[in-house]
Amino acid sequence: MEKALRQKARELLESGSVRLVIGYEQGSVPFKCTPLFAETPEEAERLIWNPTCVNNLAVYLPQVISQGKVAIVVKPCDVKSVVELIKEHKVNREDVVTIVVPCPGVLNLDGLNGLDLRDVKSVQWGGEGIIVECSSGAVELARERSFLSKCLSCTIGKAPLADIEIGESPIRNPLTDKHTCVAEYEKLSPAERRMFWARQFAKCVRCYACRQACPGCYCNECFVDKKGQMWLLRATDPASNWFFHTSRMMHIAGRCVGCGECERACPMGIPLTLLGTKLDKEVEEMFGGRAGESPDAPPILGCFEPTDPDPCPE
Amino acid sequence: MSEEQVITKKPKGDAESQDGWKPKIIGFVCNWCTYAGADLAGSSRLKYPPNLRVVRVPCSGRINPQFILKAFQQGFDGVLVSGCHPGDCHYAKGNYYARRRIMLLQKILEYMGIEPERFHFDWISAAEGQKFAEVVERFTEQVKTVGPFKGVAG
Repeated sequence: MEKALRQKARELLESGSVRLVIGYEQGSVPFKCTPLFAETPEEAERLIWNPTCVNNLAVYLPQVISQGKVAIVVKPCDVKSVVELIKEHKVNREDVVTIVVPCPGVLNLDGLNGLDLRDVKSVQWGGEGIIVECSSGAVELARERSFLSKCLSCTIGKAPLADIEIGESPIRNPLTDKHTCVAEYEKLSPAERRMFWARQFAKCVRCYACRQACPGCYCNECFVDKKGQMWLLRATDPASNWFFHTSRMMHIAGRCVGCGECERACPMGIPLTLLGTKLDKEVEEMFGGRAGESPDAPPILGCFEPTDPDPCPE
Repeated sequence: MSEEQVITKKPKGDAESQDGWKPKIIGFVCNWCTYAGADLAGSSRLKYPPNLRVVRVPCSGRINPQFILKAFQQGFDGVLVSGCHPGDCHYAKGNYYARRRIMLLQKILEYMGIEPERFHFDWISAAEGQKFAEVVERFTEQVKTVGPFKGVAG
């Protein structure tokens, strides 16, 4: 698989059809990857594809696209972010080449708890889930333990925008439904819900890692950084944190593809996908569209139908 | 005043009235319909509760959902939003865009535990002075029933 990927990347760079290939390379430890920006065929030899390739690389596209055509290694779910970027005219369709890799699911780092991390040699797909090669022998992790929750509920079939496909996409067999956690949360009373978020947002240190990791958060100047129109104080009090997170959610409403990068990037463990999943569900129910499905569809909150549901029906 | 000053200005005056708490309500209304409707209510000498602070905006499509979030962050007990009826927008379709945003915002506020009674959206035209007075009356009562807002952080 990696061979085919490197081969493709090499061809693209050698022929000069792209300036840059964005992909994954081995990180400083065997269970982590780091983004690779390959500009020469030699650099493309460092590309990898294994369960540690969790990042959504689409986040880098708006920054690099202005300097020429770019190829990007994407999982079928990350393609949706590319679709959104094209839809919002951040990226021209002809400037991007998507290399879709077959993805059985990617590593949930928590799954490695209990293993001696210094001992880990490699992480590969195998069996039902993931096989972690340690110096003391191989450990097989079950699917529930190996993969991120978004992967356990993944139902993505064919990627909507695939220029180059490496291998065959595995057949999805979701273990969970992504709306289960929303339904579970919705059992709480309004007061309990408010307390829930008050506690979660009290943890927030406003490092803005969620914003940086989000492929939808590409504003040149984010509302939190504005100086003329100061939306909120730089200090982190729970109410300001609440305002920051709800505002961010409203900004990505109808555009959030549920890649879960915000939650994964959060150093404080705030369950941000609980908000994103709810928005996704509501948008689909009310306006009948989902983010990242077709590059030709108009942005969901940038269009309307006269027959839309009405907050105050006559 | 800048829009930031308007929305961060702490309402004062009736906060500590003799019989205790009175709701603080902020209203974002469209210049062409609801604001004119409010004007009509005033010139027709209709009575409605004085708890509402009106912020006039050019169009309901101008209402950034962050205005409403900011109002709740600042501790307003209720937020009223109103604009022209669908199809009657002065700018042809501003209220249609607003409608999608407001629908979503309403859902997310409720989801995050803000009582749905604290947020109200209505279409009020320039001719509906009577309706404006009624809506404000009803909404103020509704906010009174749910009581003081404890804030978004607890």
